[in-house]
Amino acid sequence: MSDLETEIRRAQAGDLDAFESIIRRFEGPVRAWTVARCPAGGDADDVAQRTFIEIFRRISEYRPGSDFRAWLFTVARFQLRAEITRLQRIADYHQRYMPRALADELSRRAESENTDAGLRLEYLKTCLQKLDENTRRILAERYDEGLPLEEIARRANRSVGAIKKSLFILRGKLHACVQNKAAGEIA
Amino acid sequence: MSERLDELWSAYLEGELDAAGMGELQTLLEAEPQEISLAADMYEIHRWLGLIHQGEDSESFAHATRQRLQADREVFVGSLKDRLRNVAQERPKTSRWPKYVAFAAAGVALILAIQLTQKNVSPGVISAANSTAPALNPIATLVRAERARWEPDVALLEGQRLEAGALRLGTGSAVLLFDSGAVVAVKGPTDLNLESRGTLRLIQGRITVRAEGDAAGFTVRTPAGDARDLGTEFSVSVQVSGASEVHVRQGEVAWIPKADAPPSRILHAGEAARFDSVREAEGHSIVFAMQSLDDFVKQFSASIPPATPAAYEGFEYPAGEMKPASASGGAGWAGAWRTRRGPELTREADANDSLFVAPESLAVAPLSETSGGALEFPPGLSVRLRQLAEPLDLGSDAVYYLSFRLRRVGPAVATGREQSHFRLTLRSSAEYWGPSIGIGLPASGHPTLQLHGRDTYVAPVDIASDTNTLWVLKVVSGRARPDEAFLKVFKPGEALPRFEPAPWSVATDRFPSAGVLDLVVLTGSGPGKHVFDELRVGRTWDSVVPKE
Repeated sequence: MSDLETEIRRAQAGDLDAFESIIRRFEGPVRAWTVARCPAGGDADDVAQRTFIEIFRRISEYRPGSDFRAWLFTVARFQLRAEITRLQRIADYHQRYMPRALADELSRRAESENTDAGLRLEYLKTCLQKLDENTRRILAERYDEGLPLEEIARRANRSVGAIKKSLFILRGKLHACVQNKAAGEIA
Repeated sequence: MSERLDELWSAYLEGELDAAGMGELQTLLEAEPQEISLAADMYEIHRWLGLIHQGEDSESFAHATRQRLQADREVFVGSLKDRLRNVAQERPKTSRWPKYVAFAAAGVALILAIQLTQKNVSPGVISAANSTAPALNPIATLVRAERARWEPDVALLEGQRLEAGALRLGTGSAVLLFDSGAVVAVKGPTDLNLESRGTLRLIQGRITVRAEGDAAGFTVRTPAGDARDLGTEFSVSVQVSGASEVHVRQGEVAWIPKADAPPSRILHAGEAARFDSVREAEGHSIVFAMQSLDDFVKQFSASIPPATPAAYEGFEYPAGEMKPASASGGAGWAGAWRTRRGPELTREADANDSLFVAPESLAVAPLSETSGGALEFPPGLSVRLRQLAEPLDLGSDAVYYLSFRLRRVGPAVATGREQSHFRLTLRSSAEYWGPSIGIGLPASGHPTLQLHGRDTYVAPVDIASDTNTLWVLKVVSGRARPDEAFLKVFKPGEALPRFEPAPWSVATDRFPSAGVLDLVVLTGSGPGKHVFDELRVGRTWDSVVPKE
């Protein structure tokens, strides 16, 4: 019996420690998946938490030997769908948060069977390590410290437009890097 | 991507796109459908960068999820316990079962009750009583309480943030504001479990919910099924037996008998139904009878004395130039206004050492002008300070609010790249360069909330020059809990909410601090002039946001 099956059996007997181990085992891929698929304005981590809570409620339904990961992502998909439904009820959602075309594309991706987000997130981390120090600093100021572009530009002694352009190009490069790594993995 | 699409998409990811830009982006994406996939890829990278830099704390996630699970399980056990108690209390006289079965049921209830008390019950609130519990993300705020007695006996403050977990109101009334925007009125005795920003479980008692606009979809879970809001106002009650009633005052409510199932019934305005158990999916109609949330609030607001700020400055001084030391009006201050001194000084000196009082106060519709004048900050650097009689003690369990009115006159940016900036910073007189909380209007027009002069949070709203605005800062401090700060900037004509807003314009992450902030430091700089007025510091929303 695999470690996972053992943990599931213990969780089925009400052992929260065992279920916490299951959460730790899968939180990375589930959060990477919900964060990438959850439309703007949604609470991706709340969706991920609700996924695990729902799994725990229904843990007795799990049959040994079946694909736990597939079940987990099916539940995540359902929880994300509920979040998307909630967001869509916001009258001016598409004017305030996200263009409809993009929201539709995210919904389409959320319905697909592709659940390799965790792996792609790891690729992204590897790609980040290859960046030079200045670029990493700008990313940290943008995503970690949440500084306004004006402040980032001032610190870098560059114009706001240049910083904005750099971030845009950088995201494109990081995307290409992740794609290359994924392609290399497949090859 | 076309150059324009690039430009708009970049602005979107930086949070700088307004409604018009969003409309244009939508049109361009529809015209270039082949670009949607690439845009989604960029969004994915953008979100992952956020996750990597900000929130990928696996330990906290696992812990917080476990806490929610425990709360969920305990609510379930608690509900079961109530039902068993009901069996034990109601059945003996009429039951066909032998007495020992009833005793056994009561015994099980007792064991469950003991287990409950022995468990590390997930805290529902941030308070001294459970200050040793690990930090969870708050999901709601207590915005009103009248003669409220909470069980176990904890003192909850108005404005206090509430975490996922159990909450029992023994007696009195309270109003909770969920982060989704849903308002929930509670009358004791009522047992609740706050599950998420959009969900609560009602174990026993009665609540009234108003969930409109962004809050639509708010769900009340009961032992007999879930009542999901479809943009409405409704009440839900749960009896000891688990039987649940739903009364709909406005809009519609979907009744969902069990998780993942489709709604079994849609209740419309003026309808009410009772559901005795999850097996009774359709329920049966009953007479509609519920008090509106407005009436509920009015009823107990009448018994609360008017809120007054702990400190107030309305600049009721003669118009013109005056020495700061002569400006000692208002209430709740330890001394007059002053300029910087000693270690407070920096290399850049003030452009002048006077106070300039404008003859008229600032009106921010729907708030009208007041009797005093307003404080003017002319172009150039001016720093003015005043000490509060009652400081903000970030090392205590407390909630503080601060409000003021502000207007920038003239350019935000001059030709020489000099930029206008206005800031209000709360500092410590004992440690001036130590912990601080600042709010400001930089040249970009996006209000900021800054911690310790370092971490800056930017509000996604745009304040143009020559616009009167009302600013409200809220600080929730904890003795053994991290603190939080929130900022809301109201533009003219924007309705002032009855309770504090959800969401705010911008909020900080939770931050540790034990500073005692007793200095209000106002800084105006750059080519623009700033007009500042009606400074209030208090312990409740009502004390700093006057009624229209």
